[in-house]
Amino acid sequence: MPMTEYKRKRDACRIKVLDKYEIIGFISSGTYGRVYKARSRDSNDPREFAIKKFKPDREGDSHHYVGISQSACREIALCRELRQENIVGLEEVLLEDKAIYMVFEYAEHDFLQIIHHHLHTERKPIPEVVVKSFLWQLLNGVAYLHANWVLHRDLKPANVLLTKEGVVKTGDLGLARLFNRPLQPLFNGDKVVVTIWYRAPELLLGSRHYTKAVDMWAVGCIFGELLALKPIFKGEEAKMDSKKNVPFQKSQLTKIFETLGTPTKERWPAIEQLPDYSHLSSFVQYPNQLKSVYQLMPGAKSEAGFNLLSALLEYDIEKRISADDALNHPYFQEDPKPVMNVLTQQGIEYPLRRVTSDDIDIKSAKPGQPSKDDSGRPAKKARN
Amino acid sequence: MDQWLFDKEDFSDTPSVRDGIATSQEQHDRAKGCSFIIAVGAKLSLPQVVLATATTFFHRFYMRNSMKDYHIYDIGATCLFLSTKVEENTRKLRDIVNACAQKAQKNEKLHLSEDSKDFQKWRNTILYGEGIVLEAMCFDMSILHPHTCLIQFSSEIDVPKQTIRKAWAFLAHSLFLPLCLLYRPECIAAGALLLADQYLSEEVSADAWQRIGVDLEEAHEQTLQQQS
Repeated sequence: MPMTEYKRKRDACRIKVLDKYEIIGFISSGTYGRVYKARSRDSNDPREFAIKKFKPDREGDSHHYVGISQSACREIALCRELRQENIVGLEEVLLEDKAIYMVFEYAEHDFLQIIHHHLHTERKPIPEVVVKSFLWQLLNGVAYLHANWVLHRDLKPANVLLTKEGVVKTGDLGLARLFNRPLQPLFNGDKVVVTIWYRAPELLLGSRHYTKAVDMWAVGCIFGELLALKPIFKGEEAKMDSKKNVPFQKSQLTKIFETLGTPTKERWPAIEQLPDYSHLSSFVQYPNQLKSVYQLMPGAKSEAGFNLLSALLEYDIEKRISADDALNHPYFQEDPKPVMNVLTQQGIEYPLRRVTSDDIDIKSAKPGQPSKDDSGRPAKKARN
Repeated sequence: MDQWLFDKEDFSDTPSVRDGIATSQEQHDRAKGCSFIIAVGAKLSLPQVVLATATTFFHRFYMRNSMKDYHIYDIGATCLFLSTKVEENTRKLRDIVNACAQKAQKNEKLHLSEDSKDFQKWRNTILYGEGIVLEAMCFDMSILHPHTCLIQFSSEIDVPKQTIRKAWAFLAHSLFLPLCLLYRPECIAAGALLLADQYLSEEVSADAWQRIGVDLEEAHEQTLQQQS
């Protein structure tokens, strides 16, 4: 039987996305495709879902169609292996008309949206018990990823989702990578990942080794941002030049040094081996100001909290705290203790994720427009 | 993971066998399909991990589909194409198509122009097959290979380099066999190491095996399978 016969037969019995799910809104879009909010058509299943539709590589040009995109491949491969309460769960994957649909559990909020809500609407810091519960669960998810040899590589507030009960769900594993394979380098040519404000100093100084410590630095930045309600190291990203030379990120490093002090060989012995070590002499010698910066953060109260923040924002990757050790840090043992469903417990209701209903034709082949971003922040998710 | 581990008896009740293909014929054709994948992969200078993933996809696919329905070269080519993406060693589809056509027709000089009928046929087969293979595999694409386990072992126990190299060579040769359907990768790696050790008559102390937590019985059984 020729392939075309099979195609007809097979397509006839394939489950269609729209037969199974009702699209109730459009959430966001990015270079990868679009994300929709959906619910099951099964009336016994009250759950909501986020359906990520990958646009095929070189969409609209069927002559040059080269199959499902590599990033979709990678994300599906990883998500299929991972199942944990603090990681966004993958319900199923569907294929239809050359497009891939990843069906995820739905999370009502994300950290970025909540930080904005506290900054602009409530104009009050996030309560300590909420920050602590968020951070503990974020660490719990990261510890699970690391135990399974997965590096997230793009941790930032917009990628840390949250259910309306307050359960943290780390998402967007589009850049995540297995690191137990000695056969391939994790650093690929000019592809430096991790959004710049959350990028670890060793990467900014030219290290090509992505390690667990890179994720831990980002967790430290997110912790600081939950307390301060703004990014703690908000540098300007130097763009790649026309020859695709990787630029030196002077502004970002300056922001870090201003707070943590300019690193020295004594404080960070391996710094001498980093490719861009020579640039270090061009920096002013700043003292370590983290303590006073911490005390000025509106949500920061506890001494143990400061100790954990400085352990996460440690220059020397040998000394930077691991996710497992961070979970056992004294900060989490002192009152208020972290809880999983902190929003329900505290009676907090944040505004629901904004979804639009004017563009919910999931089948249209229209390429996704990158979302408009009012703050110039390199975020992919729409927010309220 | 567990849904991809089978008993040897399961080989006498595969979709191909149910379609009237003899078990021995199916096993022969599995080896032929893997050999095709490896030859095309060599032509494209693909690393071992891509071949290992592609042959694993291939073996899994025919536990759910019949060789009467899907030709081994069509599926072999598709598995390799998918594996290059999963393992981040992509090649141009055009190059994959040409390498497949050369190996399938046993003509190294063959070059298909992009608007030729044969080129389009291969291309469409691979692209359409991609969805079929993905669905048959339930989108399970992360594969832990015995190669990785072997490297892990070599850092944990003291084994001569020569033995590791020999074991690696056994693993490379084992891709033809559906070992990935029968044993966990750690066990296959241990089997290869044991076999290499016997082959080179170097002693690996008994407690070293215990340290890496390998069931010697299972490893031995597996060694016999590799030898046969």
